[in-house]
Order: sequence, then structure tokens, then C-alpha cells
Amino acid sequence: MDFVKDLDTNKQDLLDLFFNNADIKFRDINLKSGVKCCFFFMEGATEPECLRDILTRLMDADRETKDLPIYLSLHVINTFGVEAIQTSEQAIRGILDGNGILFIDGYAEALTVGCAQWPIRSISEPPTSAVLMGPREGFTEEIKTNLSMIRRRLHTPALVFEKHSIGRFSNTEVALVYIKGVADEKIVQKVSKRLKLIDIDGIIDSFYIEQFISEKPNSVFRTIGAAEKPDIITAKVLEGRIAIVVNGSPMVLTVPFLFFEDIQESGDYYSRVQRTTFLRFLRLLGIITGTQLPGIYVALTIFHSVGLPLEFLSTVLVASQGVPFTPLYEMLFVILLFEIIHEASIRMPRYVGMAISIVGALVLGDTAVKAGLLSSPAVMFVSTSAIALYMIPDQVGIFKLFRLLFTIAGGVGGLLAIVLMEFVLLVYMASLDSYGTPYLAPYAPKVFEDLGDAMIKTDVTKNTQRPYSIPNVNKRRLKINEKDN
Amino acid sequence: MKKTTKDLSLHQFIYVFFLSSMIYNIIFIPSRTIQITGRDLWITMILFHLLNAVHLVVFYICEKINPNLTLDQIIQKSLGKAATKVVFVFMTAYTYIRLVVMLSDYTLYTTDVIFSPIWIPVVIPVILVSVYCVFKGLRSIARMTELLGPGLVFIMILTMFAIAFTSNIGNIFPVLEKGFKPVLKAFSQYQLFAADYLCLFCVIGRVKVEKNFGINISIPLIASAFFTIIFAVAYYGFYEDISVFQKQGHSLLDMSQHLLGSENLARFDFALSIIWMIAILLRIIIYTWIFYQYINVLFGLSKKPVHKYIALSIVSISLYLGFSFFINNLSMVINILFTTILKNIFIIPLQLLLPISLPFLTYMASKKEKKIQKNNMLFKKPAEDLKE
Repeated sequence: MDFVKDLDTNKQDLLDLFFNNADIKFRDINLKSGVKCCFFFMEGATEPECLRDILTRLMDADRETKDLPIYLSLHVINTFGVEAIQTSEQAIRGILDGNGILFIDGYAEALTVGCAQWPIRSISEPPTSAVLMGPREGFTEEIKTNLSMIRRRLHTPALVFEKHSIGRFSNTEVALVYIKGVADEKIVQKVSKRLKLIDIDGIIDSFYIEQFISEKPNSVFRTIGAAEKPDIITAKVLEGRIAIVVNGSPMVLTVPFLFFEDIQESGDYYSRVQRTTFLRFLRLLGIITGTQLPGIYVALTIFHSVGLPLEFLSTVLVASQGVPFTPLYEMLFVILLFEIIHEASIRMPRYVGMAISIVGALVLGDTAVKAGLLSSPAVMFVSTSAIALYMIPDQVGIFKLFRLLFTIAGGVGGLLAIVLMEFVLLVYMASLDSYGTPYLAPYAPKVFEDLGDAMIKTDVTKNTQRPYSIPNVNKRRLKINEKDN
Repeated sequence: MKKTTKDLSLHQFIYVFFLSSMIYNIIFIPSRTIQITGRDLWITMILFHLLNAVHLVVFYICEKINPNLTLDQIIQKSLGKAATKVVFVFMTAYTYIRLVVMLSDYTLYTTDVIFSPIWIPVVIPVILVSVYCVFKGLRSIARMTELLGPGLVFIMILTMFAIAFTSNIGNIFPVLEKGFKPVLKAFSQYQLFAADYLCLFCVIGRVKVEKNFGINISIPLIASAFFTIIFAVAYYGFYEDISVFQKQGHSLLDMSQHLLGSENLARFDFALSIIWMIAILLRIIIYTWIFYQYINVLFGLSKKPVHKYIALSIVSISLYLGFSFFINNLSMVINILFTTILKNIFIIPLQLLLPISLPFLTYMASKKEKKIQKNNMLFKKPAEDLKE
């Protein structure tokens, strides 16, 4: 709806369009020259200091001119983002973005005044990605802060922020971040097209977007990466990946995403390569142990006790004496018990959660073993596997499911069933792709050029090329000055 | 990463076909052939690999003539549709029998090693997993093999070392004590199973031909031959008196038990058996894929999802039915297929005629294809001129 020259009509129309919302405020003012104005803003979304300053300056404006909006925007309003608008839709958008709208009597246009300041969380270290070495700042829920954190690390005009607005009601700001001349333009277009196709009432978090842009949304494994730290996102963007920043979410998505990215961690790049390599193998071992240890134990005790060393076998037999369950049911019971304690301790208030953990892990486990309901090896194996799984915190949920399946397989079909399940899992993982990149690259298929930063980490001076596994248009990463070397 | 329309990279091709073939040759073939050859088992192994080399050369020539033509396209373009069906009937039957025998071997192996002696809970999951892998496609199977390959090679080398240090190589002498006849007999009887590079023909036109293709595929053949022959030598070298093992179906397992077993270290051989089990399962999956491909050609099925499900259903049901028949009559069936004149049904067309004629057929098909392309170009040109 276009504005009219009458101030009262414009004011009433806007109030009607906002259904007289309680947080939409307006302030009638008279310029010193006698012209009547009205300033609209949203309570809680604007900076009070800025607002007060603008209103004071407006009230002092005494020049009489034919083009008052231009005069005000050039000489009176001292904030960024002053823009002339002509329709109530633009006014609504401006107010909802946290800006102020200035109506001037006698003019069929208004001015948006940039004075937004949403309540935001301050920058802090993300709890899911704590590091010993390296940057500690994490993303917040505010998109502008997040984009500025990336920009601060990449001072180049080639870094592009392509903005989208998604959600019929939420109008959530979403930004596609990539480096022009490094990221593959086809992938950028593909992601951009998918974002444009999203027609939903609201986007609450970046994981909503993940569902829409994922090539296999029903896949068991994530094929879209997520990180909470700007240094990780910057590094990925430098490799030619595309980041998706969503307003209201501290998790930034990246595409393409590979399985081995889960094994890598930001701290890996800030410590010695030997230690990093060791830790990466340890994480892989953590996945294997975490998912398969209870299953293998059940399989060995039920079907293949000959495979166990004699001393170990006798220990297991003594410990399991009098336990009223079969090894499979016993293990399932322990896993279930552990999961219940885990879920309860997460959702409970922190101080109660601590108590639950102590009661659950120590008292309950110990009592159950002493009462002869559970054997100590079963409790120990489940505990070990649970700790091992947390070496890859991003995939814990799905790996826990696999642990359960491997345990059932081990109990039903022994090691053969475990081997068969591994085949199903591996072939499934091998069939996954993320934006043209095989999920298991650079190992399956082998991309020899990328093996220097997969499980084994080589020195940064040796990684002269950008990854071949992911699509990018500029492979050269490091230029070695031969004279200096 | 460069996009390719080919199913397999050279690296994957080597892992998929050479590795699994080598492991099958190491585990199952010695226990069968040794019954005929005795201490000269390793000479038979050399002959098997010479035959493999012939098949590999044929594969190489076909790929060099035209790397884009698949086996069915070659035969169809050179001999016509009817001939294709006939050739594929033989190929399908051969693959089917191989697969069922392999399944039977696998079932015996797993029931012996780790499971109760009931075959149904072993074979049904194996068939289902193989079919699932085929459903996911050759590319996924190849990637999985690529991932497991290095581990399997490592275990194999470990076993090799363990055997090499404890076996007395002098046991294989004197060589050819009973003459060359037993060696030839074993070769003749088991050539369809031991020299199994026939399966390479199924991937003609599906492998990415890279630089030094010939050298790159020859090295794995030589390595595979080397390992198999060394294993055969060590196998006999370790057991001077083979009379007990000649009666056993899968004596390699017992061998590893004696070699590597230690009460302090637990049953190390047991862990190795699991690794072997993985390797053989890979072989079964690859053969199931080949069988599936042949079924597609035989029944004229396309890549439509419905056709895919039909083909996979045929594969699963036929495998189960074949297996349930074979498992109770395995030795009888193997005897008939290996020792009687019936073996020539497959040997003559598949081991002799097909490898000899395939390069010529590829040449003919390639020429025909080029002619068609030329005609199409001529047909297109006036239309383009009109446009201008």
C-alpha cells in the first residue's frame, strides 16, 4: 500500500496493519520549523540511546525546505541505513528489522532510520567445541555478528555474502557465504536455488535449512556440516566450501560435507602434526570401539567363547555367575539404563543432573552388580563404549543407534552378523554423496592428493593445494617461494 | 574431483578384482587342488595364473580398442541380439554355479569357524546383504572394497610372514615326483574356479582407462600370483604329511591355528579368520553383482526401478533355491561339474572361444559404432545448415 501525503492516514494505516500490536510504539514530534512528524519503532529491538539522540536532533531541525526528507537524511539523522521508502510493506519490514520509521506530514514517503539493536548473547566459547589451543570465540544467534566474525578473518572483496529471506512469517535472514573464484559456482547456484525454493512458515534454526538443502534428507548420516566456530567456517570456506549462516542460530552449515570431517577438529590445526595424527586415529578407534565393543563382547560370550583368552574367559564366567539374564538381554538392559540416565541428566537442572549422574553411574551400577542382576564386564564395556563415542560428539546420536544394532546383531548371529552389518553400513556410507562429493572421500574413492589432511595430518607447508575431493575452481593454496626455501 | 561416467577407477578395479580373487585362491583352492597335486600344488597355481594373465591381456586389448563398449554391447553390435543371448546364457550359468559353490564354501567355512552347523541363518543374511550391496551399485561396492582393501592386504602379509618363518620350504622337494600329469589334471579340473579372471569381462567398458593402464593392471596380477604361489609353497612346506589335510575342506584355518595360536595372546587365528571371512564376502558380493548384470542382459531389463527390483528378486530367489539344492549335494555337483565331460560345456565356450574371439568382436563392434556415428553426423549436418 502506497503512502499518502496525510500523516494521520499513514499512521493509522500502519497501526492497522500491525493489528495495534503492543510492542509497536510511535512518538509524535514537531520539528522546530513546525512540521509534524511521527516516529515508529519496535520496543526492545531498537537502541534507546540512538533513538533519543535522533528524536532530539529532529526536534531541533529548523530549516524550511521543499524536500524535507532529503534534508533530514543528509543533515539531521546521524545513523547508518537511512533510506526513503514509499510503501507500508517496506515500513513493516523496516520496523520488524528493528529500524525506526519517520513519517513527515505532507510527504508521501517516509524514512527508515537504522537504529536496530536486538538483545543478543555475547560472544563466548561454544560448549560443544572447546579447544585447548586456538581461537575460543563462537558464533552467536545474531547473523550480523556472525558474518562480521567471518569477515574479520577474510579481508577480501572475493568473500561474498549472498542474502536470502526465508519463512512466510519469520522472514529469517539467511546468508550464503563463499569465496568467489574459489568455490564452485555450480554448487553455489545449486544451494541458492534450493534456498529460494523453501516455502515454509518459519525457520527457527539452521537445522531447518539442513533438511531442505540436504541431497538425502532421510539419510542416517549428516551430509551437511555444522560448526559453531568462525575459525572452522573460515577454513572451510577457504577450501572452497559454501557456508550457510542463519539468523537466530549459532550453528553455521557447510556444504559439501565428508565423513572424515567429523574426525577432524579445529584444535588439530593448532598443534603438532604427529599428535594430531595420533588423535585422529584415536577418534576413529573411538567410533569402532564405541559402536561395536558391546556387540563383540556379546557375540564372543554367546557364540565364540573359544576366541577369548582362557584367563579372560574365566573372569567373565565368574563375573556372570548368577546373573539372571542372557548376555544379550543383560547388555541391552545396561545400554538402556545408561541411555535413561544420560537423557535424564541432560534435561534435569544442572545441580540435579550431577546428582543423577552420580546416583546412576556409581550407586545404581554398583548395586546392580553387587545384587547379581548385572555382571561387571557388561557395565564396564557399555561405559567404555559410551565414553569412546563422545570422542566424536557431533555424531553421538547416530552412533548410539548403531551400537544398539551391533549389540543385537552380535547376540543373534555372532561375529558373522556383525560382519554383515558392517558391510551394510559401509556400502550405505559409500553410496552417499554430498553435493557431488563422495561421503567417504578421500579414502573411498581414494583421492591421493587429499590424504595429507585426512587421517594423517601433514604439515601446513605441504598442503599446497586445496582439496581435490570437494568441487572448487582454484586448486592452488600455497605458493612456495623457491628462493626462500 | 574429476567427474567420470565410468563405474570404476583403476585403483578400485585393482582392489575389487585382484584382491578378492587372490584371497579366494589362497583360502579355498589349495585345499581342493592339493588332493590331486600333492606337494606340486604351487606349479598348478602358476598355471592358473598364466591362464589369468591370458584373460587379463584380452581385457586390456578390448579396453584399448574401445574403452566405452561394454561386453553386451560388443557382442550385440558384432554378432547380433540372438548371439548375445546365447553367450550370456553360458556366462550367467557359469556365474550362477560359481556363486552357489562360493556360497556353499562360505557357509561351510563360517559354520565351521564361528557358527552353529545350521546353514539357513548363515546363507539368508549373506544373500540379503549381497543383494543390498548390488542394489547400491558397483560404485558403492568399489568404494567399500577400497576402504577395506588396505586392512585385508595388511592381514594377508602378516599371515604370510607368520607362515614363512615356521614352514620348511625343503618339504616341497622333489618337484614333479609323479610327473606333470597330476598338475595338469588339477589344472584341468579347477581351472574354471581358480583361474577366474573371466569375471573381468563383465567390467569391460566400465573402467576408467588411465595413463600406464597396462602396467598398472599387470603389477597386481604379478603380486597376486606371487602371493598365491608363495602361499601354496608355504602350505605344503608347513605340513609335510598332508594326508590329514587332504581330507579336510578348509584346512587353512587349522594351519593358522597352529601357527599363530597362543594361549596368552588368545586365539589370534580366530581374529584372522574373521578378516578372511570379510574378504570372501567381498568376493561373493562382486559375483552377485556380475550375476545381476548378466540377468539384466539376459532378460533385457533396463535401469528402471521396477526392472531393478525384478532383477534383484530373480537373483535372490535363484541363489537361495540353488544353494538349498547344492548344500546337500555339494560334493556330487562339484564332481560332476569338475571331473566329467560336462565341464567342457563351460570351458570350451568361456575359457577358449570367448577370450580368443573377444578382441576381434570388439574391433568389429567399434568399427560398426564409428560407422553409425559417421552416418548420424551426415544426417545431422544438412539440418544444421538449414538452421544457419
